Amino acid sequence: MNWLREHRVLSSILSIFFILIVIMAVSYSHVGSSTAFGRTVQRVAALVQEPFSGAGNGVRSGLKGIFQFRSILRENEELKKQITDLNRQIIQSKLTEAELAELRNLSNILGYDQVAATYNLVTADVIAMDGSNWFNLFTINAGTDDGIYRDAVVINGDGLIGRVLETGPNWSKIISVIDESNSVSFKVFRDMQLLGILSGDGKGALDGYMIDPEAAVIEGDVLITSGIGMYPAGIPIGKVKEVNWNNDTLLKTVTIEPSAYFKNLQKVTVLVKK
Amino acid sequence: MKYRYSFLLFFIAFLLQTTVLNHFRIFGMSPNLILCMVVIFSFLYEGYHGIIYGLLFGLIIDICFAEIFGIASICLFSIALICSELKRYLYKESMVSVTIVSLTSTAVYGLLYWGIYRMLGSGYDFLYIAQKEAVLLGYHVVVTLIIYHFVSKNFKHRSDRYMYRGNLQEARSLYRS
Repeated sequence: MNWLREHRVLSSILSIFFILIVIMAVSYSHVGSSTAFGRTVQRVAALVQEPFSGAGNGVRSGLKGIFQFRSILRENEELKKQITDLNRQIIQSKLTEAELAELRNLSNILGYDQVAATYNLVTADVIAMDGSNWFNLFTINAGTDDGIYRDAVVINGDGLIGRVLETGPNWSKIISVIDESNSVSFKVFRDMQLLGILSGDGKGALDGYMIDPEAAVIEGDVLITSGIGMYPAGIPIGKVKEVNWNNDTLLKTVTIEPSAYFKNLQKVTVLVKK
Repeated sequence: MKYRYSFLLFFIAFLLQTTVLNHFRIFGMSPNLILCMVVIFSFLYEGYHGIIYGLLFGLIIDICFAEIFGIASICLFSIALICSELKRYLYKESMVSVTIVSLTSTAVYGLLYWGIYRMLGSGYDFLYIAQKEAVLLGYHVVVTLIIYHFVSKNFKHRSDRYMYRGNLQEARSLYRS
């Protein structure tokens, strides 16, 4: 006790380190489950962050409009030309019944009907993002009040984003698929028989392997979720960037470029089971 | 500076870092404002501003964004201690000192953060993180110098009361006489 009294500053510092290490150890063994205090802090933070995020979005759009006025005008002209071309194409092309049936069949295979039938879609705004620059964890302004639950799947217009790590009344914490420690099962869009498993590669992208070492996967192949595990089938994950043969594991490995850009998310959709 | 003012500055930095700055990324990176604030307040001011708010806002960041709590707070707390120690050896009023402290803090923070996550099983590659840190080093120096300039101009620290603000030549002649 005398030593503690004599070295008050040092013992305070060591005590704080000890408490923080205990907090870390406890949260490591209960990942994704906050205490009531944690949920309250998160709730208050979400309430304050929402208007700030909206303001930031507005300022960004405004500045973009000012600084990119010329390029937007040019883009507008190009888009007008494209619309004219597309309209001509629409008139010229007619979808045959056989093609339509084929597309419906494809839609069933991809599970879009299944998603529509078994899931409600909750759209939410991204209100805050992790400032560490390493991870892609973010907060959205929808939570248990909207029916969102832990491990609900999150997507956007580009494809798979991740899953809900934790949720509260008006907020949900989302972990992206590239930070995910769990693996995701996928199939190749070109040939649905080709299955594989992927996970984050620790470099901000995804890598995985094909279950069949003979699988004829090639660069540029689009990968979608297979429906095995928590992710429903048919959600685009990304494109194959590189295919390699691993001599040690005797597996065909693939490097995948995610279809979603995680650093610039503004709106996401959460799939909530009906 | 009073603790309530520094709390307000830290809170504003937290809000900006997690919301507005994410819309203005350069090379996909945004500055860690809380880290810059901890560096400034631990290095520039007497007292425990950097240590207390580093710990507090580290915990808030952990609660809001991390899978595992405590990592950001341990890192920010360590940085605050390092900066408080560096204060003894470096001249506070110099921009060069602030630059050195900012570079050291960013590098140490990155290493600590990566090291702890690595121990807890994260698969993030060191080279990938090092590339990001290289961009952040430059970014943080600029942001820290801007905050330093703003804070030192607008908020006087305790030792300022002994500073002579008159004509330096007059002061010298007075001293000689």
